Amino acid sequence: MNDRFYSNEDLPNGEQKRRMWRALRRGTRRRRSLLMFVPDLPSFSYGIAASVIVYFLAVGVLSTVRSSIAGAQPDAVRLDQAYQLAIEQFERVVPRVVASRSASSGPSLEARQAELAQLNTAIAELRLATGEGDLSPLKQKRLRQLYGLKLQILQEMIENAEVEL
Amino acid sequence: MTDERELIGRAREGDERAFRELYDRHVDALYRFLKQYSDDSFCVEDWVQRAFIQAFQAIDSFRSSSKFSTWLFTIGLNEMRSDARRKNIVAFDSRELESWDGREEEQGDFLWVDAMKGWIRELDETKRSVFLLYEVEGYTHGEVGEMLGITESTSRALLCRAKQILRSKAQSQEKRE
Repeated sequence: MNDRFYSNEDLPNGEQKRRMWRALRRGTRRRRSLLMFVPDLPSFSYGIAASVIVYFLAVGVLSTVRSSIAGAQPDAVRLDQAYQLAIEQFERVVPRVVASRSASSGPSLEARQAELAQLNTAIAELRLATGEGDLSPLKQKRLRQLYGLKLQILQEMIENAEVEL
Repeated sequence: MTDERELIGRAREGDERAFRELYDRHVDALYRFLKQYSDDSFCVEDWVQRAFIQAFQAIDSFRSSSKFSTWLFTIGLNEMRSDARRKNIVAFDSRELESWDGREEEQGDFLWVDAMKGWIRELDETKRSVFLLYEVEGYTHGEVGEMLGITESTSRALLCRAKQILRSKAQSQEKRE
């Protein structure tokens, strides 16, 4: 039936076939060029999704570890950090005021500065020792005394008007 | 000759030579089939190339359980139908399809006469498609139903009705002669 029904007029000629093929190539190439850098779109999407999940997982794990490490710090270390913070707050104010003092108060200030320098050296040595893992009660006590002394000197300098606020 | 499944596999990987071979194998059959719906060769070319573009772009979704030609013809028919409806160049008769009970049986042998080729163009789109796909292209009623979105029994009944119309036209012509 097939051969009897169709005639040569029903078939496309060579030029028509070439024309259709050219149009077909243009039509399919446009889509392929859009996906040129993504040869396998589903795999690419899964990869992106997996990367995002791994990123957030890593951030979550790091945050948890960091907070658990911070929570596990011994009391001595946290006390040391508190003293450090308090001294830093004082020191932010005092040097500025010292710079504004008149020349007549020079010797007194120099003596204070020498005292503070000695304290700083002692504190730095002790902190170095405790930072290496030596948390003996005697060293901790000595460190707190030095902090206390330094705070006291800074406080006196402000209260006795050795510096002007 | 390369196995068609192998060709489709290569086409899925983007092998242009495989696309070309699939095109060469099926372009004549699709063109001459769609030519029965329009005398405008540019219009038919447009349906054919759009059918191939869609088929190649969706080659990943092609199920190997059916024939590539069945799938391609389905796409070609859909292209033709949407265009023909828009341009009103082919008659559609959906009312008859809805009221069909599928009980009609084929009556006697069908004798083909060459004049029938012109009368087929007077049939509405569904009857014409069923007749062409089953009688001329040699697809089964199951495949025709799959291509046209109708049941197998509806395909049988529509073929029967198409043949009745063609037969009566042939008888009228005989009487006139």
